[in-house]
Amino acid sequence: MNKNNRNGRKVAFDMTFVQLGWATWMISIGLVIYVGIQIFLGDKNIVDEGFFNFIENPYKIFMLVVGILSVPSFLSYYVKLGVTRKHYFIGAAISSATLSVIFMIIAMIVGGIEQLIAPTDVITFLGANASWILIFFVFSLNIFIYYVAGWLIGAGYYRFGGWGLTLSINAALALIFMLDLLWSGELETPLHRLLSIHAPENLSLFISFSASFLLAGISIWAIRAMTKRVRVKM
Amino acid sequence: MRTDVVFDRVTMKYGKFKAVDSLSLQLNEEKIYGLIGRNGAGKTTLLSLLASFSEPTEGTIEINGETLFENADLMQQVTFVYEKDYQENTEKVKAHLEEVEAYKPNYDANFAMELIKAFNLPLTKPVNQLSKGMMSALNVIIGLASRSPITIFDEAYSGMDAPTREIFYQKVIEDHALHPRTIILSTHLVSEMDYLFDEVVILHKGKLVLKEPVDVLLERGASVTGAAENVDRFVQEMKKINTQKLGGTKSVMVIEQLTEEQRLQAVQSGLDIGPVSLQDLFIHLTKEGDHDEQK
Repeated sequence: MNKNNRNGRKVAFDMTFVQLGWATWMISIGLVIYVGIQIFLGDKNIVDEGFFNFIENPYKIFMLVVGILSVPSFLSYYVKLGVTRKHYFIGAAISSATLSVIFMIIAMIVGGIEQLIAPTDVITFLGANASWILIFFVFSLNIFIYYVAGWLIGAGYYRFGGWGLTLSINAALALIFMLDLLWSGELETPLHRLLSIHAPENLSLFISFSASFLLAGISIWAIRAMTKRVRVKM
Repeated sequence: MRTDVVFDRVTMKYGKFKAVDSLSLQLNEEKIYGLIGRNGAGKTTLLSLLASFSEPTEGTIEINGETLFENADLMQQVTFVYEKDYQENTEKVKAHLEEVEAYKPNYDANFAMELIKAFNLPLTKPVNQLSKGMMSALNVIIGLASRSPITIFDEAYSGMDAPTREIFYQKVIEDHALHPRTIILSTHLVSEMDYLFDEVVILHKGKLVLKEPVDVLLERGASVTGAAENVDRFVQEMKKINTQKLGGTKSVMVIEQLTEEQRLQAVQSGLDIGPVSLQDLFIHLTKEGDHDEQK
């Protein structure tokens, strides 16, 4: 009995490990390109923007793709091994959140080394003076939601086929669009202005965080609803 | 551990097609069951329901009184072996077996090694580069070494050559004797495997035709051969499953447990009484057209 209850955690650990293996390639290549650009091209803009800004998009694309694969490959794999859909779901959710955090830790370490070698002002969309902790949380959350978007697409397709794919791609696009509205352009988007007219920046952050969690929550709920009793293809 | 598997009026529909139709079945002893049926009889659908690949459209499947679907304890007790597509699996055989081991509570790594030697399976080869026969071997090794209380082999041996299948049959018998568990062998190689079965379950068009111990089943049938007239008189009141006629000689297969008196009567009428094979029974029970009408 106890052994079974640990299955969610076991799946989480295994999935994190496997996906991190894939990510090692992506991050290594990213790092080589980043360093290469600086050495050979001496591109000042990229140096100014820092490693965070450089690796953010590769991270997001990676998470989107891995998210799409989650249901068709991992759910099917684990159910065939006698793991419940629920334990897969818990495991996949934990592993994707863990992966997002690990990605940001790696980016922070590289960013830190960068600061030691050549201190610059790291400017992200959160503003020039944003704290590292804030950057850490916001970037992790953003990366995580890209996984959720991919997960939604994969689940929709696996559960409902072509029509599911059409609908879930639109839902995922809407999710990413909302995410961009909530977090881009130094928090000065029309949506922000609409939601927090004359509000101080803290409130704006609060709204961004709450809305992001809400959107991620709804999407994750939809994924669970679609995969709860899904037929696993042989 | 004893496991009672109860299918209660289970129906599985794909669109409007009923792959399994209101089927009730109990597997309540640690026996080797032979599940036989023609192509499209619903064998694989039934077995995939037992492996929780999907939930029945109607009806329930319970193990030891609990609903099976999404029950973590029960799902781990079932291992479903079938001809899996390993084309995308690039990991080595050894790594693959280790992953399986992590999720199978009764997995015996020593037994797995013994089987690997018996089947000559290369441990360092990537799974997707194995030959068809070797993939089948890998599948049955996983099935046997998992020692799950409910182990299903669905045509998992069709990629193997005859000598390898023989090794598999031997291992099934040996290991079942040492570690009794419910083993379901789904096949249409009936004549080759019939000696393995304790009980036989025959499906036809999604419905259960019969479930009986092999010896009882074979005793129930007999072939009666002799002069057409005599045979006809003898089998008049019996359930006939096949009739063959050659000139004045007739051979009729009946489902009937013959009494001593009947046997004596047959001899007196110059009739030969012989056994039926499982294969024959299977073929005739699942023949197109309604066999019940032959009575």
